[in-house]
Amino acid sequence: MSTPSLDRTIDLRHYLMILWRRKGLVILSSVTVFCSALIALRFMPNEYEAQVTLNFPERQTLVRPLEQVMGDRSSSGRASEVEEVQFANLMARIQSRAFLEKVAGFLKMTENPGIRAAAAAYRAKHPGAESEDFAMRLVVQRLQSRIRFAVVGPGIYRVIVRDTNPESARDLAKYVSELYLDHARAAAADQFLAQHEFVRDQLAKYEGDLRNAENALKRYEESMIGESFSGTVRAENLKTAEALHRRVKKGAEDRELQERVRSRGLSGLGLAPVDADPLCERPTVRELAGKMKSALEDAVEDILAMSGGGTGAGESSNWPPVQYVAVQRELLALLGSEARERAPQSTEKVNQELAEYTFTRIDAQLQEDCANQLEQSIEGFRRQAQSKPADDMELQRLQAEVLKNREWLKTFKDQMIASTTRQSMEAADLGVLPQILDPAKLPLTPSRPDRMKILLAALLLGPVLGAGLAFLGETTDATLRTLEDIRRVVPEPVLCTTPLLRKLQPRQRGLRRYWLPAAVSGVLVLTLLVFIASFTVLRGLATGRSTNVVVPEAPSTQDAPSR
Amino acid sequence: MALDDELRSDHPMTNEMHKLGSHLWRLVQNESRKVVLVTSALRGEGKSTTVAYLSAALAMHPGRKILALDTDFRNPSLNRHFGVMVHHGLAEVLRGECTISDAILHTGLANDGSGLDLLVPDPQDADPDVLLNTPKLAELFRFLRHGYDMVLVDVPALIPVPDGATVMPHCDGVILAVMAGLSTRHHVRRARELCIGLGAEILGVVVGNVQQAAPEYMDVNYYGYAAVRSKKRAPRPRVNP
Repeated sequence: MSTPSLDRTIDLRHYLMILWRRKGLVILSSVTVFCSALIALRFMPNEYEAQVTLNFPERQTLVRPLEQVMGDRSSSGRASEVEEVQFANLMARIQSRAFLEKVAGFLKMTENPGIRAAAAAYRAKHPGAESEDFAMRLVVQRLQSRIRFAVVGPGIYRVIVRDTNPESARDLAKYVSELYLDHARAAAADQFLAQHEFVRDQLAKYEGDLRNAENALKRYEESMIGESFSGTVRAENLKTAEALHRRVKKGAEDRELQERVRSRGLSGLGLAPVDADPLCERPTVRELAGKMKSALEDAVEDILAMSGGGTGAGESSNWPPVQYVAVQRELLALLGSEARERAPQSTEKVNQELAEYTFTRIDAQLQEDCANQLEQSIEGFRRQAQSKPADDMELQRLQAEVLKNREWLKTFKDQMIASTTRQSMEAADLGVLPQILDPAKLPLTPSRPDRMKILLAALLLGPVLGAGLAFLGETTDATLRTLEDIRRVVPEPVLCTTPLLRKLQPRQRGLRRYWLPAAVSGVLVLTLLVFIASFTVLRGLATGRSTNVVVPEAPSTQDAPSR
Repeated sequence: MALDDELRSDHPMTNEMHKLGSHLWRLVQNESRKVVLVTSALRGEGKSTTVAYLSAALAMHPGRKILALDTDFRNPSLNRHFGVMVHHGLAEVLRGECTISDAILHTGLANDGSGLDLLVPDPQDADPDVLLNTPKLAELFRFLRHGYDMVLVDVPALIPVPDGATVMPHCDGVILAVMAGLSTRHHVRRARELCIGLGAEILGVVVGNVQQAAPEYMDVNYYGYAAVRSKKRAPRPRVNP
C-alpha cells in the first residue's frame, strides 16, 4: 500500500510528456514570438545616446570650515545626503518646463517641420488654442522623455540625451549641460544678492529695534530709582531705616527745643533770631553746613547699607555719627569766630550766644531735612513694594527684548559676513559650482534597440510561453491520462494496464482539440503584436522623429551658454 | 502474428492478459461468476481487444472452455481478431432461425471440446435493440452458462447506445475499459453511474495505453524475467478449427 507522501512524488517524465504531447503549441509559440520580435526590430528606429558628465566638486579644505562657521545649512549633513540633494536638484532643474523651454527656444526646436505639423493639426482640432504654445509643450514633453540621469560616483552625475539622430543627441546634451551650468551660476549670484540685501535690511531693522529696547530699559530703570535713599532702603533694612528715622527725628526735635531756648536767651541779651541770618549766609558757614549735611547723609547710607535685616540696628549704632560731630564742632568754632569778626564791639557772651543759636538752628534744620528724606525713602519703598511684581515683569520683558534684539543682530551680522564670504569664494572659484568633466561626444553606435538582447529574450520567452500554454491546456483538459486520474474517477481496482497496439485516434482533431490553448495563445500573440506595434509607433512619435536640432552659428553673449 | 502466437510471446499485452485471466478464473472458481461483460464509456476504448486477448489468454490453459460473445451488432469486430468467417450469426440465434451450436465458431485455440469458441453477429443484422430484448437472450445466456466455464461478453459502448445496458443484467460482473489519453473523466464517470444504476457489479478497470498512463510499468526487463520466460515457455501446439 502506497503512502500519501509517495503518491505526491513529482515525476518529471509526466511534465515532459505533457510538453511532448503539446509540442506543436510550444513550437508555434516559439516561432511566433521570435518572428514578432524580428518584425518589431525591423520597424524599431535606432536611437543614439550622448552623455555629459558633470562634476559637483567636493568643498575644498578652506571652504567647508568657512561654511560651517558661517552656519551654511546646505553643506551640513552626511555626504550621501548632500549628494542626494545635488542629484535631485540637477534632475528637477533640467526636467523643469522653464529650463527645457529655454533649451528648445535656444535650439529652435519648435521650428521642426514635424512639430509644426503636429501643432497645426492640434490647432485645427482646437481652434482656440495657440499652436506655438502647443508646439513648445510637445517639444518639452519629448525632451523630458529623452533626457535621463545617472549617478557615476560621489558628486559625479551623468546627463544622457537620446535621439534618433546622433548629431542631435550630441548637440542637445551639450546645450542642456551648458545651459544648466549657466543657470546654476546665475542662480547662485541671484541668491547671494538677494541674501545680501535681505540681511542688510534686517540688520538695519534690528539695530533700530535694539536701540529702542535699550533706551526703554534705561528709562524704566531710571524711573525705578527714586531720589535720596529710595535706592538704599530695602526690605532687609526697613526696620533699621525706621529706627534711624526715629532717632534723627528725635535729634531734630531736641535741636529745635534747644533753638527755642536759645532764642529766649538771645531776647534777654537784646538780640532777635533774625540777627543770626547774616551768619548763616556767610559762604564759609554755608560750605561747612553742606559738609555737615553730606556727613549726615553718608552716615545714614552707611548704616542702611551695613544693616542686614536686624531689628533696631539704627538704635544700637552710634548716633550722631563721629564725622558729623566733628563737623559740628568745626561749625561751632567757625560761627564763634565769624560772630566776633562780624561784631567786634559786642561782648563775648553776646557773640557766643549768637554763634550757639545759629549753630542750633542750622543743626536742627539739617537733622529735620535728613529725617524728612528718610521718611520719604521709607514711604517710597513701601509704595514700590506694593507695585513690585508688575515692575519686575516689565523689567524682565524689556531685558528679554534687548537680549533678543542683540541675538538677532548678531545672527544677521554673521549672515552678512557669510554672504560676503561666499560671494568672495565664488568669485575666487573655490569649487562651489559644478563643472563639466566630460563633454558631449558624437555617439558612434546606437544604444537602442539591443537586438541581441531582444532576440535572446524572444528565444527564451517563446518556449516559456508555449510551455505555459501547454500546461494551461493540460489543466483544462478533461482527458484521463494517468492511473491517478482514472483512480479518482473510478474507485474500483485497476485489474490490468494494457499497451497501445495501434496509434490512438483522437476524437477531436486540430484546433477543436486544442481550442482553449489555441484561443489563449492566439489572444496572447495578438496582444503581443498589438503591443509591439503600438510601442513602435509611439516611440517613433515620441523619439523616432529627430528634432533636427538647429545649432546656432554665433550665439549671442546673452542667450548662449557661456562655456 | 496470430493472436495465440502473440500470447505466447513476451509482449506486455500477454503478461497483462494472463494476469487478468488468472484473476477472473479465480472469480469463476470461487464465486461462480461465469459471465463477465466488458464495456466502456465510448467506442474505441479497447473493449473488443480486451475480450479477444482475455478470452484467448484464458483458453490457453488446457481444460478450460471459454466463449467470447460479441453483442455489438453495429460494429462487430471480435471475429476479425481471430480471422474467422461468420456463417450463422447471433441474430439468427435470437430470431430462432438456427441453433446456438450452429452459430458458435471454434477458434484455433479449440481442442478436444475445450478452448475458445466465438459467438458473433452477422454483418447484415439490423435493429439490435429489438433483437437483444427478445426472451431468447436469457435462454441463450442460460445455455452458455451451462455449456462453458466462462463467457466473456463484448457489448457496444454504454453512453451512445442502449445495447450494453440491455445485456448487462444477464451478466455476473462488468469490466470497464478505459483508454488513457482518450477517455474523458465525465464520460467514464457517466459509464460507471450507468453500471451501478443497472445493478451490475464492476469487477475492475482495464486501462489501455499504459505507455501514457503508467510508463514505468512498461519496462518488462526491469525484473529480469523476460529472458527466463522466453526460455522456459514451450509453444503450444496449434489446433485447426
